[in-house]
Amino acid sequence: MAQTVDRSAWEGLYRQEFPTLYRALAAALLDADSARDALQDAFLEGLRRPPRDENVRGWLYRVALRKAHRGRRREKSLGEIAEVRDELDAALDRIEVGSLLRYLTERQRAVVIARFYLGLRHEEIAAALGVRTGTVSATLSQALAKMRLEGGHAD
Amino acid sequence: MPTESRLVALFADLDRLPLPAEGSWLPSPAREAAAQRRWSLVPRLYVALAAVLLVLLAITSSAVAGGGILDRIRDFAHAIGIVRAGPEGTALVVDGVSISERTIAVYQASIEQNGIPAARARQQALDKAITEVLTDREATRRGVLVSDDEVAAFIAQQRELNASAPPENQAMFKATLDGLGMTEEQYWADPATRSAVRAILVHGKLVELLTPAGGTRVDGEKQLALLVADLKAQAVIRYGP
Repeated sequence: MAQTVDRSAWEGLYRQEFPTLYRALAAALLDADSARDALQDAFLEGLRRPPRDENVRGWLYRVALRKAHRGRRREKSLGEIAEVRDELDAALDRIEVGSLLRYLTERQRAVVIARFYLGLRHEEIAAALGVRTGTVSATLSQALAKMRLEGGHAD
Repeated sequence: MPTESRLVALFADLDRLPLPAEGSWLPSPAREAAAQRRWSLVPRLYVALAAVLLVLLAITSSAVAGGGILDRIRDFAHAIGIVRAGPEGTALVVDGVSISERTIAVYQASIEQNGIPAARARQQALDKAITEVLTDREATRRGVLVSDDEVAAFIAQQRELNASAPPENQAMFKATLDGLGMTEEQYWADPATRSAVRAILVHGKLVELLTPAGGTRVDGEKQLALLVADLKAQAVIRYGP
């Protein structure tokens, strides 16, 4: 039987998580518009197929990342590669972590943000990104090494 | 400060990133409508895929066993429930005996009550109907009869048991009735229900008859299962009208 969702309850959860997830996605994707669109798509996905017994934050992050990648593929195929918005760019420049994130690949950003900003466990990040827990650990190590090298952090 | 705490503090600065206006957090109605349109395509794609598989299966089985491709496609589609007649239409014909979609729906609802998914419940409902036809015919041939009074007595007993059943069982029964669009009175008076009850009683009597001297009821059940399997192998079964 199809699982149903109480729209107002789901909307409440979504609104509660939106600020944190939006910032996480914007920093991971370096694209404010993609972050908002992907989150909106994840919200709609939740209306259709609500998450089951899962960390809602992790679920929304995973679905939104997937949607963002698909959206970007569509844009690239249309020759409309999205540009990083000035406002987000400026905000990231004003904070220390923002400049460090620029040294990382998108996958590395997604992992370190999931771990240190969203507070997800390794297993949850692995599930979110569709990789093995060992891959998460390795990606975190590489990302921290790069951040340490560039900014003298994570030592 | 431990590395983890330092990193958490460092990343907490992301809280300073600006948020879009709260009014744009949720998707616009147009975006939601576009998503709905995309989703509505998904079942159609599945149906199209199922149709292609169906044709391939029919061609393959036809090549192996002979017979008309269209007949095989129709039978298979009815059997798995992709194509169904209306409620009063014929779901299948067993050795010339027609069984209505309505009967199958009642059986299926009763099977689903045990938590069986709809597709599998339909398969079981069809199989149950086939077994009943063949068993009933065999019972008649052997002189085993079930009277209307016996059916009525069984139903009365069942209703008493239902009335004293745990609330969750009663709720499940009520949900089944709602699914069928019937009241309890209508359900028990329905020909499909009475036919199912008759089948239960015929089954019991046949098991008794087939139980070997000194054997147990389990032995009788095994004998009947072998007999039904043999009858099914010989029966001509056609799905749909």
